[in-house]
Amino acid sequence: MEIKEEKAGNILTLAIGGRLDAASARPAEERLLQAIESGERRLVLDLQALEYVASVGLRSLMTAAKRMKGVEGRIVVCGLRPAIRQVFEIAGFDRLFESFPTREEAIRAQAS
Amino acid sequence: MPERSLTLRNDVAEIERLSQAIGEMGAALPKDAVGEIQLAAEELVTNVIRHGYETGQPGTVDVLLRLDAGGFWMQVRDRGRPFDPLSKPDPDVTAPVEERKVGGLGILLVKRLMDEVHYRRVGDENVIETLKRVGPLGSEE
Repeated sequence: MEIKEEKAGNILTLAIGGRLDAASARPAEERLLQAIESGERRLVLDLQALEYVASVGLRSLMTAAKRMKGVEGRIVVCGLRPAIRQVFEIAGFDRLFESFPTREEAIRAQAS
Repeated sequence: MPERSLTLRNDVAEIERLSQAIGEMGAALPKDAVGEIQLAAEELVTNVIRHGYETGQPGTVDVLLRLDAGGFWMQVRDRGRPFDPLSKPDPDVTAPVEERKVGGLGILLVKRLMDEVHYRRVGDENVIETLKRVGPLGSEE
């Protein structure tokens, strides 16, 4: 798992790549919560390079979604591969995170 | 009929070894299906590690993999306390974010990604058996 970051205006994009599993979910969750803690309210999760997500990774994403909801911010996702989209749909994450095909569209949605 | 058995320590670091074995056995199967089986396997083993054994207590998880005409079959056995992960109701995945529970998604994934999942208590063992009906590439009707 690796996270690449990009800040444009007040929008922070975190590109999470590789595997979000039992071994890597915790550092990813810590980074997400830390971003919210430090005041980020418009977060884009670019998951184009995410190959695999297990339930422990879903828990981390949900924890971040709950925290962000509490501070009235918004997390959107983009670039979901078919396997990731399938897991998101089973878990009902398509209801928790608005999803966009590309990073550009996700950033545009956060800017509006 | 290819069959393989593995004994894993109850440590999440062991999941990679299981994932690899599934990948090798499923080399001729559609890649998507293999990925789904690997995910189901990770969820089942993680579940045993989290619920079956007291935290930090050494233990093992025995996994049997078999690929035959019926599909890809997997059995996961542990000697932890009796625990039927299928007995709990599925989490409500339609609830708004503030009401959603963070747990229960692993078993939900197993149920949806695999075609059959069964639990039995046999002697001092928890036994989960699961099947994905899948054949080699090009063999679909």
